[in-house]
Amino acid sequence: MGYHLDYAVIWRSLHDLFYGLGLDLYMALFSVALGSLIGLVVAFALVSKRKLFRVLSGAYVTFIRNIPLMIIILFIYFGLPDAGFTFGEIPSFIFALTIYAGAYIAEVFRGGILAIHKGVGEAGMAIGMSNFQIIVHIKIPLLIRSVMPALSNVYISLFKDASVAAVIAVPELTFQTRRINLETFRTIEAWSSASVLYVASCFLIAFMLRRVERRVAIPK
Amino acid sequence: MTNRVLEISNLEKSYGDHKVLKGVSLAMDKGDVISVIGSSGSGKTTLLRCVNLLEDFQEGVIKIDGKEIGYEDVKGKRTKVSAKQVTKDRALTGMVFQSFNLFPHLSAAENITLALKKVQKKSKEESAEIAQHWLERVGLPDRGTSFPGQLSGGQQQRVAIARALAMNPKLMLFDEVTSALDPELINEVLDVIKSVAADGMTMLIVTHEMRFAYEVSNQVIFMNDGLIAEQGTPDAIFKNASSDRLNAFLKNTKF
Repeated sequence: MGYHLDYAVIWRSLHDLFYGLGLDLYMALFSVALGSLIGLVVAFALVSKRKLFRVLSGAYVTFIRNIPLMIIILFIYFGLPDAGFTFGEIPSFIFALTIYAGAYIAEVFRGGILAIHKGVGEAGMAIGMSNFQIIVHIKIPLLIRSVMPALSNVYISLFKDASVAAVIAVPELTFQTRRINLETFRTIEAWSSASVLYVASCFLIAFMLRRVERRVAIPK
Repeated sequence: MTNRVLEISNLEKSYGDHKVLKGVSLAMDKGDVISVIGSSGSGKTTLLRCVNLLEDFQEGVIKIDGKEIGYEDVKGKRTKVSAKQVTKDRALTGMVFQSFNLFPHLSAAENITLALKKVQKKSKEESAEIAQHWLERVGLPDRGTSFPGQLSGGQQQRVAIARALAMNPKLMLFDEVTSALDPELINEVLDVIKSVAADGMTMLIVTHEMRFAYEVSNQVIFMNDGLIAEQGTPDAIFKNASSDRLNAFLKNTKF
């Protein structure tokens, strides 16, 4: 009786695990960066005076946020080729995670926009700045600072969501772990190792984001 | 007529069914300092915000330096000017707000240089020079690198005044600029405004500081229920108030 832990097989596959982790980081970084840009534009559309902007951006957020990421991925990976667009697994996944990220990040940014004191924008108007200049030079710098904690949360969550890419056989960390598990039957060793790598990465990401947060903090 | 900086004729403004301004007319020549007093809800702040085009208005004409702002006549129809033109018209006036409204992520100097660079397209060096000049003018020569959160309310409001003046406006608008300040900080702000007035700047000042209004203005306007109820010299308004309403208002305020 008793299960004897044997991490030797994991050591032998360590390279694959790290390769997978690197792929997760790569895909997440891409998606988070693009998703943040989308989120920023969509957030301003959500609070726009123009109804058309509000309706379109609202529809985007409502749809994307309420569909499981898994379905978005399967839809894009298996659905788009039928419509005549064929991408590889990794671009498909980055595309899926980006539009998913955009919807979540848009909501975070929207909260940041609403938190900006109305008078600050009016002060910009009063000294002759255009709406666009106010957004670029005043609102965006302010809102990014105020949403940093919430944004970090979403970023970390999105990094972990990269694991969903395993369902379309992207050889990222979760996919690699499952393969090692199936090949070696070292279930506990495999999944505990992956967990440690995820925790360590998330910890590091959180640490770096916290540093950024402190760095851009407004002096008081 | 060439000296006419501001001319408001028959200004009307409502929020939905609620009429806030019911036909206000007012003229200011270069160097005029007019204080607007009256109880809250009388339309003072709205009047100022209309002149700065922060509010739309339904009727009437506002001219700055003889040119209508905010609206134009297109084939006999009153039409709002383009957003771009609104931005230009707005730059003719400088506005200082009750709540300072400094940009919290920028230093005092950067608060001033931002629009100099982005709106007036001045060089970095020239903008910095102008900012320093105005910071000195409001008595804060060595606070350029401080952030708003590191300044007292009075200092913040002085930076806000410097920021507005640096844009070289034709007319300065002050909207209850000491109402959010601790009592001991009020005078430093009022003194700055007085010294700017002494330089000949044309100013329209909404205030609850009656003694200040008396001292700084050459004309005082008493607003009541969306209309100018009384207008006259500070002496005429404060010392020889004729109407019951004005007397009642003054009785309830500190001089």
